[in-house]
Amino acid sequence: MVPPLAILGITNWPSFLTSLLALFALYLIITISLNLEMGYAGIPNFGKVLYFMGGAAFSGSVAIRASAWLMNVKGDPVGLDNFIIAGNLTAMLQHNIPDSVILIALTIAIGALVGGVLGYISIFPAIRLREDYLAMLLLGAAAFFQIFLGNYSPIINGTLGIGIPDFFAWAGGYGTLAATLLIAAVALVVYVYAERMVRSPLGRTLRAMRDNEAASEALGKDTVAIRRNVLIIASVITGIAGALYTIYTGDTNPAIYDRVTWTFWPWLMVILGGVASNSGVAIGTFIFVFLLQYINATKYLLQNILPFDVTWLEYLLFGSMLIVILMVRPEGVLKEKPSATMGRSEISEIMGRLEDEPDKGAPEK
Amino acid sequence: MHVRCNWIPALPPYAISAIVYGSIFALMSVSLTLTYITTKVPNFAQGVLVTAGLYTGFALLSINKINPYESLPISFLVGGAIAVAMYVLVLNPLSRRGASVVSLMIATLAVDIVFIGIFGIYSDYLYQAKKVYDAKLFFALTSADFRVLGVDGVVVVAPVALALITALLYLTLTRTRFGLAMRATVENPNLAKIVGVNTESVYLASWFIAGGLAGVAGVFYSFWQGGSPNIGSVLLISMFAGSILGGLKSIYGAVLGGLVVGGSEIVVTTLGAQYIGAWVTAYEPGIPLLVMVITLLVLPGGIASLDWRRLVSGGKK
Repeated sequence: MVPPLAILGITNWPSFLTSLLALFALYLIITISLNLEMGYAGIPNFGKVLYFMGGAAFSGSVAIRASAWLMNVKGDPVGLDNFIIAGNLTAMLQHNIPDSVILIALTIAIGALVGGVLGYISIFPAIRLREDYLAMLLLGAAAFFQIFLGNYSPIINGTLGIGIPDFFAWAGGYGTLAATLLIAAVALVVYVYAERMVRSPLGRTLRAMRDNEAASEALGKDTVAIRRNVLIIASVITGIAGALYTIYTGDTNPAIYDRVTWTFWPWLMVILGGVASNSGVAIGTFIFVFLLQYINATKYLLQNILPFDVTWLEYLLFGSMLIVILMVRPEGVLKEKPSATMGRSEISEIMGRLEDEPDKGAPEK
Repeated sequence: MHVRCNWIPALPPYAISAIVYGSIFALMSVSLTLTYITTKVPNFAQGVLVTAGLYTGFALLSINKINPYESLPISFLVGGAIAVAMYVLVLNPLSRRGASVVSLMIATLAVDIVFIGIFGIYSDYLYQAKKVYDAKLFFALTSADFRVLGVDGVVVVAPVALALITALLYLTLTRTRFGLAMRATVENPNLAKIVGVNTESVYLASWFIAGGLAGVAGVFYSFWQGGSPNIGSVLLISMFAGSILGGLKSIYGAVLGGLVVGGSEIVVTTLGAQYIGAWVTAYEPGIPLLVMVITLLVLPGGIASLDWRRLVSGGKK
């Protein structure tokens, strides 16, 4: 048999590009929400994995329970028969597009809800504690939540995890592509939303608050309320990312949600791209995800040479990469730009009017 | 793990376990507090130092058949050297560039990630090249421990070591010129510099001692519970809970905090398993989190902020 042709070490480019897009879009949702919290609202969230894990696990649990209820399948959907039930449900949903779409929407909604609830709980420490105490607490909370999911079996059957039905079975061979496009569409919406938000008066208030909290309070801004709202919005978005990941991979398992993959890598991407710059964060996310996927797809080439698992080199590489970025270019690829208010021509026009007739430029009473 | 002990009949076995476990965590919390008071940044790579000391002892035992107690100075040196390297190569250059606390925290997380790779490679090397088949997960090194008074050596060694180290730190801080320089540096680095204290060497020494203590605590932990390449990050939350309970700024507070956190992990899970159900044991990692939350709610300054004299005299001045 002729071995498949490897171009630049990759044998299957279409599948490589699809998974690249899926992971990029998924991480973009997380990094944009992290950037809202840390870049704009000044909340360094070291527990990103908490909201992702909550969204992913609970939405997966509800997804299979709801599908079993909808299809009248007997048995415990998150028990020992989980994989058989998930398989049967996939077969039932294969020709049932309306129910599949409803279940997808429900799964995402549960992810958003759980993310929001966890975000609401995090408000209490987030507005009271100094950044270092907050970081320790959120890291601890995420670690404990992972242990809780691994031991409390009614949610996702403990450490065994559960599989959920494939909601894109109707798309046949294009199921993965359809799921990828769904994630990409959500990522686009989140990106546009964040971009509009930071360009709005609220966005400028956020920066003012981050740069000088006392001054913005003196100007009558309720910084506690603003910070609370941003934290909840960002948590909802991260919960949605979790639900999308569960839909995409078709299973959920506590071991997936480690703090390196879902807290540390997003931080790395945001810092690489540029804190408080959505386009920069998008670039940083793309660079990182591309490197990660490319290394994953080509590491088999190195595996036979090295006396240890190649995966360890990823940690070495990305860990030292972040240290180097922090030292050499702490502002990231794209620096934060001054906030856009009005176009230059509009400002100069108003200036001109003010010079001609001082009364006309002033706002009307 | 529980000790079988027949010479202190009044104490239930879990009380002794709690003291041993608490002593190990007290050492780790002291180490964390030492790095915190100098650099003012919570060091999320603290677990690395514990794992480094633990694997130094384990590797010397498995390959060279050297007892981890004999190689304790080497574990101390390895932990200390890695801590100094962290400070010199990462934290010091960053804070010189005026990096924020958040940047420094994320840098320590990055160091932790780098060491996931390093420990991973090292344990693969032990497994494949040195044929150490339990390099990725090993159980308590009881067979290498000595027996004293009818119990395993570590049961006596860990609390005694903690007492000695605390006494030594107390004497150093209060009776020596170095201790004076260190307290001055922690209190106000700029003022200390003006009066001629070499703050840089004070920082280096603190980090070295901190790393060494974490390494020693790692060796004790391997006698008690065993180890794995990621053991440091598993224990990280408990170390932080101990430090926070101690007030994050006080070494003696950290000793008490570590004892309480480590001890309550044993006591709560043992009693919980007895009276509530065996499932309680699985939630042991929730205890340090609970300690953190309660401390921050009730006593944000930790044990160190308590005014003992007022407590004793019943609130009278």
